[in-house]
Amino acid sequence: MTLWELLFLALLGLAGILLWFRLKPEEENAPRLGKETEERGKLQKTMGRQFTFETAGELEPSAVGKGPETVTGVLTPEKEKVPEAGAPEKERRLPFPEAYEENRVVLLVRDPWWIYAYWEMLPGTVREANVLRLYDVSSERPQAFDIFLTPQAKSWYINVFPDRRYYAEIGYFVGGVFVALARSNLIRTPRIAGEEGGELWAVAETRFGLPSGVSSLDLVKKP
Amino acid sequence: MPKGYLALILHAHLPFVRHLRNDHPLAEKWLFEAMTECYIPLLQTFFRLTEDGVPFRLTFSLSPTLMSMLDDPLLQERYLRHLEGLFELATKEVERTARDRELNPLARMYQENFRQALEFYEKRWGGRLLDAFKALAQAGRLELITTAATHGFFPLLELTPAALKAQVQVAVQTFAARFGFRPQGFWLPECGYPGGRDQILLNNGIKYTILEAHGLQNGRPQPKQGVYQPIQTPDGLIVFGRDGESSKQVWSAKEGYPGDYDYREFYRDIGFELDWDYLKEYLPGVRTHLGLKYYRITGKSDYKEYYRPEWAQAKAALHAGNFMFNREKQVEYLAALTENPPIIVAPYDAELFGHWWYEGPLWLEYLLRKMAFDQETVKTITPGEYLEKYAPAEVVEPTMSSWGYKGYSEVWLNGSNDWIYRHLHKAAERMVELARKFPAADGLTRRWLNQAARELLLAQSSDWPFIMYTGTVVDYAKTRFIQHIGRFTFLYENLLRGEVQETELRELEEEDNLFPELDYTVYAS
Repeated sequence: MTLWELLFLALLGLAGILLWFRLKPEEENAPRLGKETEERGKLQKTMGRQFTFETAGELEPSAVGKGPETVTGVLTPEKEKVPEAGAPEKERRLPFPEAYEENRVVLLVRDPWWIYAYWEMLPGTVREANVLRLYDVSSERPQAFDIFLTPQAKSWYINVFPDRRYYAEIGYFVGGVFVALARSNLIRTPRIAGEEGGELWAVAETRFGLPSGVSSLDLVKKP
Repeated sequence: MPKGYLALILHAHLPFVRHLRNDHPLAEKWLFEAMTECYIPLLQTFFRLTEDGVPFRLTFSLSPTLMSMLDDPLLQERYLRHLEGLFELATKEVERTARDRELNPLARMYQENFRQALEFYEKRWGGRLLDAFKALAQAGRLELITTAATHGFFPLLELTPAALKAQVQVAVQTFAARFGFRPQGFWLPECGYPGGRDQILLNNGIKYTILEAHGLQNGRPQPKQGVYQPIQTPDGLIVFGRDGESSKQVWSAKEGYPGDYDYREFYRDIGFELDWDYLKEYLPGVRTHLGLKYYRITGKSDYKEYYRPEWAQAKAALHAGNFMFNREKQVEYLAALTENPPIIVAPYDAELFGHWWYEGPLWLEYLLRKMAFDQETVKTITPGEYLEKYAPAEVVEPTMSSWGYKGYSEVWLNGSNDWIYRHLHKAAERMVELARKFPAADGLTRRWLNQAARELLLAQSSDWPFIMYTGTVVDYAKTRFIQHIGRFTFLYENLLRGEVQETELRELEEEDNLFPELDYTVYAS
């Protein structure tokens, strides 16, 4: 185990104690924690939602997936972002920026419970930014939460709450004082009516939808 | 007087896959497949119904990238050759299977289909399928609408509102230039609603859009009449909600109609099964689907039996009857609860019909005939026509939502594709910067700026992150994304350096030749 890995683990542990937020480093692409999935599954059931994988899969440009690849100049975003030597001359000279040389942080909404932050820091900034401070400005008394970043991280998924407004700052601590290098856009997570207006929801659901989990196939008299 | 209405909406979209030098034939084949298996059969169906005097109404959304490709003489010519090739291949198949009593009728079926497609495409419409759509709109059968210029997913692009403005304005311009009128409705790509920004649609003459049910049901306040009455947003945009039940009957892999054992099996295609030398002149250098498939789904195992068209037809009729019956029941139930007659909004991707679900166009034909003549409870309608009769029920502020897996942005924002957004956002900001710096460019500089906008728009296609997520042709999607960001960055940097050369510009203009009406100044507003 390298020093970096140890440091990474230590930071993670520290973050876990300090924060209420569950953090998700960008490399992690696996399914969420079991509990979370379960909760969401329950929510979806109560809400009678019907977006299944088919609806997302529908656009899949099908057929081609079965054939061998013919595309040359295969590129991976994580590593080198310029077309390989095999690419035509014309494409090779096209610039694909690795970075844009600015201090910046941006928030994007993934769903009511998760947002995504990406950032960039000017090379040669006095100190490396290692703290992402998230402000919840939904109420009159804004709250702030600090997320300690792993070195070299350039983005992060953050567990949040539905129907709140957030923005973030990225920076570092000097003697206990937070110094911000960049401030993000303001975002609002989607509202989940089920959470606060459970009864209303139930009314709307039974009046205007069929009970969850029942397909109209079941309503047809079987021959 | 019907008790309620059914609004069927077919949304047709493919990313821009025209490659001047024909160096990505597999991508171009998506378009050709969709033309042969979906757009032409659907159009033939609609004309048959119209000619038989069936009074149906249906909404058809055509994406601007698709319109651009259907309108492109080079692709029209290439497609004609492709279709002629298919007819030739089917003719060879008729000969090859001459002694096979089971296969030969199937080969003849394909030969006849391709013959009719050729006649429809070349003789009747001169390769211009958009004219066929226009004729159906003029006949009062189709309501044509459109979607964002390159099918950008709005919730992840709204950081730069000008990016959304351009996606909408270019779309409406592209549509109006081809059809001679502006669309009333706008299909949000992937039903992706950013939660606001309605003014952008309204400013472009759009009256209504469609959201996934939970976008409305989680709205503020919750709509009292569910998704079965349109609502109005505080800004004045009219919103229809998608009905989950009717969509599930068609979409669901488990319970949906397309999985019926008598329907044609998609994955058994002669392109993978017959001798290479026999097929090679019809294949783009590698084995892939050719559209000649001889088997039915049969069952859950790999064991497949031959397709029996008459069985599949009977099932399509049965399923159409079942779908209609369910809509009748649904409307009878809802009519007692809604103020105005309920409207069931059932949107589907057009490419499901005929491509994935071979019998889809036939099912639709049976459904529309039955609905017109076999019952009086539910009538087909378009959202635009409904709004001529009834006003929106109430004012609701919908929430951000989409029809993707899990209902929000995760499909387009996850570990496989999240790296693209820093580039998309920066490029959009740079485009705004250029448009403000050169507010009234002309000549070469104007063309240069318009091309930069085209490259930005092409990079914004929701298709690239979607493909990265599904893991199908990831390298193609990455290459395309990097290519368009690269081209944009080249145009941006060189313009700022004052290095503007026509030869380089012309190359890009010829390669990415869509949206001739585009005006880059939209980014300055």
